[in-house]
Amino acid sequence: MAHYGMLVDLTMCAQCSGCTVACETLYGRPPGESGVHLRSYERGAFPSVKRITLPVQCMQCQNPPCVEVCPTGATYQDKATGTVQIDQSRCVGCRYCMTACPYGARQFDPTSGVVIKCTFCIQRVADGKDPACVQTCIGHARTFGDLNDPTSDVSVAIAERHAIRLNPELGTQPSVYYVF
Amino acid sequence: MPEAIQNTTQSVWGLPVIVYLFLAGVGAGAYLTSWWNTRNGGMGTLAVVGRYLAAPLVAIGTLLLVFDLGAGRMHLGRIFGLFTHPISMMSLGTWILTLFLIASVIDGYGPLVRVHRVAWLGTVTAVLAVAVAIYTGVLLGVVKAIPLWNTALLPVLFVLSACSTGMAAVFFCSLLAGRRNLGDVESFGGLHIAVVLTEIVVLVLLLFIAANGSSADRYSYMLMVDGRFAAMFWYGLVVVGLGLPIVYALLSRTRPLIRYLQSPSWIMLESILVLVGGFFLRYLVVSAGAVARILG
Repeated sequence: MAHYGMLVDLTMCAQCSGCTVACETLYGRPPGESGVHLRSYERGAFPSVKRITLPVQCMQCQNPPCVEVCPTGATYQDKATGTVQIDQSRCVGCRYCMTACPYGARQFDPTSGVVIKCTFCIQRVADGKDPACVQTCIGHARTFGDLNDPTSDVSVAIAERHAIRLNPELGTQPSVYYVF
Repeated sequence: MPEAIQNTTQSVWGLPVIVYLFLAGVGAGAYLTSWWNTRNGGMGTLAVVGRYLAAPLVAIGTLLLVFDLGAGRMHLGRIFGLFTHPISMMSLGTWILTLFLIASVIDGYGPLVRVHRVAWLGTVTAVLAVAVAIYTGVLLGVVKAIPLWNTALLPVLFVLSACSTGMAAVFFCSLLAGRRNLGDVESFGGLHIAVVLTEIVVLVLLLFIAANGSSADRYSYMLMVDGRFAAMFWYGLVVVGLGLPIVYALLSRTRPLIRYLQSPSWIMLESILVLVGGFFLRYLVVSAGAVARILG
């Protein structure tokens, strides 16, 4: 059983939006419907304020609130990969998952009427490749791999660089880690 | 370019959901008003009016939800999937709404086609009505990502508002049907205002918790009290929806004004105020729901 995870090292992120574009290109999505979004946050209070740009995508939570609220079971946790996926043939487009996601990682596609999100490029991963955002990242800020394997690049990097997860207080247990 | 984010309100659900929450509450409340009026046997005008109102109001609300769907509206067959995952509050709600609609149609409209009304069905429908009212609150209440919603007080507030707006709708329509129903309505007046008073207490508690909560909670609170939604909050909800009905209740019980204010027109006006307030309550709670901040 794999548990795929990702590390985003913000100290190496050039904020170039390459990940956003790679995702849009691979899946043929219009601008704004990418699985990865760059968001800008202010941290701290005057005079010690810091502006942080954060690439946000589906955190592939181990305790995903979206799966709990989905009324049709279209959103599910894939046990073999530890990822959260959407069966688009069952999604009714109620968008309850979008209200439940604390990371705003889901988008509504008005054309197909279903909710879409980052899939961790699970097809590419099955073919032995990295997800598109990982492959395209010019600063090598992204590391992808199996979190269940303590010797994998991603597990080692998370341990070495003291990576953290977003909003631990919500108990969602994301599989995406960040280095600030 | 990165989008700049500080605190933001949820932008996923809008007017259709707000109107649904309101109508489902009014419908459930109307049924409960009717049921309360028939507990002791007889069917007064209020009981008949309430039973007629309940099913259509909830049905219109439910239809709005269906129209608000994406793929579910395009491929109607998918809607049956909504029954299949009752761990989800919305799936559970689909069951509750369906059962309530069936029961309230049989119970309310059965007599028109000479199906005799049975007492136990009334009780079952009343229980389902309570479930509908609770559900509208819990639907939002389970969303941890939106701190304003994520409190057990919200279902309580929505149930109270369902009762007060349900009564108001029944009063209004009963008096529209005939001035002779004034006596029936007056016999309910005390309970009506007691519910509004309790609603105020719960609303104050909810706001107090929001004002002392997380960053998103405080943002929601500020939006209502002193921000984008302040006009609606103060004028629409506090003054029109809660304050004026209380003032009316006090004045209409004051000796020199009783004969003047205890008239059908005044009670109908008061009912409209309560209904308007109930709508704004749903609007504010849904629209001012701020998403938990990603970075503290």
